[in-house]
Amino acid sequence: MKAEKRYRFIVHGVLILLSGVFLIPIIITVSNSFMSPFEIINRYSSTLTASNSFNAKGVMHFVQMSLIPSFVSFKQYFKLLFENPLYLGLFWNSVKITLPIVAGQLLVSVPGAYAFEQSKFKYKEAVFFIYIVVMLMPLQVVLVPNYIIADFLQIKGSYLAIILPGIFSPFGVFLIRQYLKGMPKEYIEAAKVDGAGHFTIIAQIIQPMIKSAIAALVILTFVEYWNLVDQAIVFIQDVNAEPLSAYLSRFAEGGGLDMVFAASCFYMLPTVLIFLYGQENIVEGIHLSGMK
Amino acid sequence: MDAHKKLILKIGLIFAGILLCLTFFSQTIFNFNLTSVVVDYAKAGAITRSADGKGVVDFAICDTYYAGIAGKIYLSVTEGETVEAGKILFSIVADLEDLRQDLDGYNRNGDSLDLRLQKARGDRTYEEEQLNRIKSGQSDYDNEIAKISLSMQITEKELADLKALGEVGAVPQKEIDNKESDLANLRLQYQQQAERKQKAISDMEKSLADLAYQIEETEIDISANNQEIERLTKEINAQGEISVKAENAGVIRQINPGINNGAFVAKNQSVMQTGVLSEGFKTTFELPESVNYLSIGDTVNFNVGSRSIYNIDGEVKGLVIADGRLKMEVQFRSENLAGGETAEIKVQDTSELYEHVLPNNVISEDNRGSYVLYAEMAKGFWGYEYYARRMDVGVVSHNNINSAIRFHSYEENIPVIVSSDRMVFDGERIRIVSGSDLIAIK
Repeated sequence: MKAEKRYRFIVHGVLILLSGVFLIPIIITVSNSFMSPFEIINRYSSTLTASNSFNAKGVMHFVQMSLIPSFVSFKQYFKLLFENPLYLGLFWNSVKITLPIVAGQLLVSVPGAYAFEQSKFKYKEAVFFIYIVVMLMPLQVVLVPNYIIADFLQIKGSYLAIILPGIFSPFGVFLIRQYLKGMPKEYIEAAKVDGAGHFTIIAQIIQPMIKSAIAALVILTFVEYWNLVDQAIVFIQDVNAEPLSAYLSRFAEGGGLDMVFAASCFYMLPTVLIFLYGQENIVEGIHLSGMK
Repeated sequence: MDAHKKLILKIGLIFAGILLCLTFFSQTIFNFNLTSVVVDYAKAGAITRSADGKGVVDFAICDTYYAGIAGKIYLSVTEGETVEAGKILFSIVADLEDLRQDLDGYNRNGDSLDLRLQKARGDRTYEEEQLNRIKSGQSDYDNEIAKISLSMQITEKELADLKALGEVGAVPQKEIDNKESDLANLRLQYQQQAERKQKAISDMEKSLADLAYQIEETEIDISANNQEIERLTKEINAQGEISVKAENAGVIRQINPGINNGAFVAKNQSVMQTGVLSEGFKTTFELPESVNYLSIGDTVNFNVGSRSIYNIDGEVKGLVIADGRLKMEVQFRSENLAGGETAEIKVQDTSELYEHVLPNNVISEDNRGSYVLYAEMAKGFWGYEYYARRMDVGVVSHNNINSAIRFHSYEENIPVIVSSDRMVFDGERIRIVSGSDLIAIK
């Protein structure tokens, strides 16, 4: 009993430590977003300026990271929301890319997974294997063929070049099929006996039963495409059409250092809200789909 | 739906609502904070440079009149009076005793000069005779030379005899040597005497030349002295009064201070100046040194306001820069002027037609040179946006108001920022409050 307690203590200790490591960047981002722009420049500017030169040691200037702001200020948020219209514009660019992908994934993944599960095709497992291989490929590998195809379809430079590959990503089909595998087949058989077609079965039988999986798929897909950077850099040349995720990486260099933390906080808020909203579903969905 | 989810949903909706509102109005709010600028295009035009100057009118040529004799002066004219050629300007009544004393002085001087002339002529005759004697071989130099020559002949013969005896051993060698030495001395004496004769000839010739010059000079002095004697004699015969007449028609420019009717004037004292009307007038205008577009021979136009004379044309005769000012001498002809009036001039130079002319306040300058800020149009997220951009320019010409410029980078015209509600910097986003037809460069 004592050994078990000690084991638990150690495990919890390690987990708390790890969670702390993961949380520190987020905590720093949130707390530093309440620093004044002057303090941000003073602490984090890589070059000597009039406002940070008093921290200079010789000709060097060191970043002075701090968890607690010297003075709490909302100036960063004010500047971000009232003096930087481009930021807000690009925020909606991210929305314009992410929402169609999430919706498209739902439309494609559920019927796709159902087809894989119900099809009598002899080589369906082989095809599904290829699906999984594609899913496992690094993003940078598939970017090249995606680029060639986008160029062929003359959609390079538009959001479709990102949205179409996102909609047909194999991850959704894989996730839903794994969930369907655990679902009793008798429900579908009974529905067929009652004369229900495939559309009715998906809409009336399958969909209500895999809500958790759908929620998990929505959350995971949203997070993945909300944070996309590579595709935007490759396909979108116009700065004004970029999603916020791509712009954010250049935000500090482009003169936005004094509000970079507020920009980051604002940027991660939608993903946090979506996660909190579907927190239970995502755990259940991933658990039941066997992806644990 | 449990309370937790409701709360999250509420927060999400509020977040989305705030974002939507801010998105709609952020551009407007942001634009309020932008620097408002007015833009305009550089226009084609010329650069006119002008400057004002003043000068005092004077006569181009003046005659100066002096007192020919000492005495009491009586003026026949007043300052500013116009006189014709030949009009009596003033008379001088001399003191006869003084004139006689002067005449005696000149007579004595004449006698002295005559004596000096006679002596010089006598000296010249004597020198010529001496020179002729020397040249003809009758001088002491020639007698001495003849003596030395005879001695040399005797010594040479004796030396030959001694040498003949010496060969047979009848006389010692020392005696022969002594004789040879005597002969060498005689030859040296001969040479020296010949040189003395030549030097004497040269000296006499020089002396004769000096005497000739002295005679000539004395003759001139005698001539001048005789003229003075003649003049004084005439004045004495005329009871010691002279009148001076105007040589040219003109205006009495100035009667020297201290010269009044009945005043005593010394001989050769300046009495008055007349301006010669036929030669016109001159004035020297003082202008800023920056007026570098005038040259000698140019025609300029000016006014004499005090006499209500306008648009007088004059010719530039001289341009001199002194003490940081350009002094321009102008000659002209005009009526109703008496000299001493103030003339006012406004000179201006209109350049060739330049393609791009801007107000001076639009052009800035730093260590990289002159530049203007222009409005560049670029497509932004919310539509077209305007940015202030630097364009280096070269100032071709300028006056106090405008500058003619040459754009360094673009051939075509660009919308230049001509005013703003606060300082504008290169690269800054701006709001255009007036100006039209902006061109998209980016």
